[in-house]
Amino acid sequence: MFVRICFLAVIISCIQAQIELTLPPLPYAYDAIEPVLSEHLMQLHHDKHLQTYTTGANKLLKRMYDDENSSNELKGLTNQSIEFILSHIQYLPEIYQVGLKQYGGGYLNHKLFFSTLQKPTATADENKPTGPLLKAIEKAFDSFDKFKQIFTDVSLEVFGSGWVWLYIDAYTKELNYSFASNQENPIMFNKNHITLLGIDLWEHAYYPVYENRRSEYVDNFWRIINWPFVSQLYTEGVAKQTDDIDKETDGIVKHTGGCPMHAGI
Amino acid sequence: MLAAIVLAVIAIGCVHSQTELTLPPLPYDYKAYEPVLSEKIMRLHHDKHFFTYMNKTNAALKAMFVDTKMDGKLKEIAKLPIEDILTQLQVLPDQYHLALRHNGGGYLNHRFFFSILKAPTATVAENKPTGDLLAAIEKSFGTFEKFHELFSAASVNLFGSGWVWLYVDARTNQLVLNFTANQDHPIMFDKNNYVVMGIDLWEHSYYPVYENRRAEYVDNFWRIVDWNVVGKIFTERPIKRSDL
Repeated sequence: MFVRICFLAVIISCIQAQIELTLPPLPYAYDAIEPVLSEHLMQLHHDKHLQTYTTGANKLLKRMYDDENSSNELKGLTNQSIEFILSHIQYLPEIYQVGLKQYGGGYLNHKLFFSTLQKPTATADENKPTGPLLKAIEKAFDSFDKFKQIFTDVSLEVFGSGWVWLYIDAYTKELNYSFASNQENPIMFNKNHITLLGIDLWEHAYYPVYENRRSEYVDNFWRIINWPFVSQLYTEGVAKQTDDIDKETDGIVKHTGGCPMHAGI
Repeated sequence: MLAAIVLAVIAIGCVHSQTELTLPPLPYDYKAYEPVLSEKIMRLHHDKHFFTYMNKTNAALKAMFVDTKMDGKLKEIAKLPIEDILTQLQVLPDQYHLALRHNGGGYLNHRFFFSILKAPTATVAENKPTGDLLAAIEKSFGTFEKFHELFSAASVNLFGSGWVWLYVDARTNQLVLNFTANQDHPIMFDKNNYVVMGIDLWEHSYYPVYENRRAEYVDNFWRIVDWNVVGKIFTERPIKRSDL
């Protein structure tokens, strides 16, 4: 696998500079998540925090690309999607690993988070997944209510800044949950993990509305999960065979046309 | 009869239980720190966050003390002052170790933090340490301005939740700058580390006033550090005897 990354990275580096992340707009108006998350909180969270992660990640990727000590393989990696970079984070030199876990992770996590939210339902109980995702939750956790209890309990136990994640492992197809500190994401630990849903437990995610009352935030979070979208992520996730993940890599290589300098490889 | 009463009194007096922490009030009014820290933030920070750390620490100490499965010698640790308990976390069973590291650390850190704050000076420049503390800062960092710059940079750059500390390093006996994650405290790493000053960088410490603008909070923090108190803390440090 690593040989393939090197190969593709070498090809890519001949042509392009590092990727430049852009601030994804919210898929809804800033006040759409009221009253669970206020307009002001959404403005701060998206326009300030996510913007800071975007800028920080871009600075690091540029530095990595411009660094004369960076190998061609490394430079090539900077042109990949942020998901790809983060799922191969262990191949990066340590000086870049820390910063990219923080700012790259922050970018990815918030991009996902905002995409999985929706206008609140009147009650938490009425907002549930259906179909294959519900079946998968029931298989992994016995029932949706049990899953909800576990996810809530873990969310209240996370100490300091972090997230709680629901993800599928593309090999086993099983659902699992994990907690992460700071801006860690399941793909940093296994490139085949596919993150479906997360709850941001950094204080900035709830303080303007809930102050210190994290449990109230977590209780209301169940009203704003966009289960149809999460189900879509699930369906796409299980359809991804591990061969497909490797094929994506080859595909990128084919489309770039190669580079004369590296014809010998 | 009298002998029996005396014996009873002595017996009751000898009955110990675990340490029970109390919530020290702020040294000043909640609104004394305006406008650097609002009355609202002080009420939340002291009456909610600090209060919760205290309650959870007390609950953990009580649970540890009544735990019939726990070694008697280890239970004695629960009777110690919190500063001593936090230097012995590594010997405790997992379920108490983490609870006390988090909440006991949170208690100690906040008790310390509130004790070193005062009403803001009009400007940052006019608020400085003097005497022995200033001399020690200059010895370690060159100038007070350099220390100010390093401390501020470390504070702005700390990722996630944590603290930045100025403390006398146990091994070198010099003032050093360092950070800890979450509610860790320098004594957890060496019982002879002696904390002199610190800044809370958890988002709850500044969000209601500064929102995401942590740099602005850090800049203004220098107006509310009570250098008289910090100076006294420094002067009262245990002095290493050179013949040891």
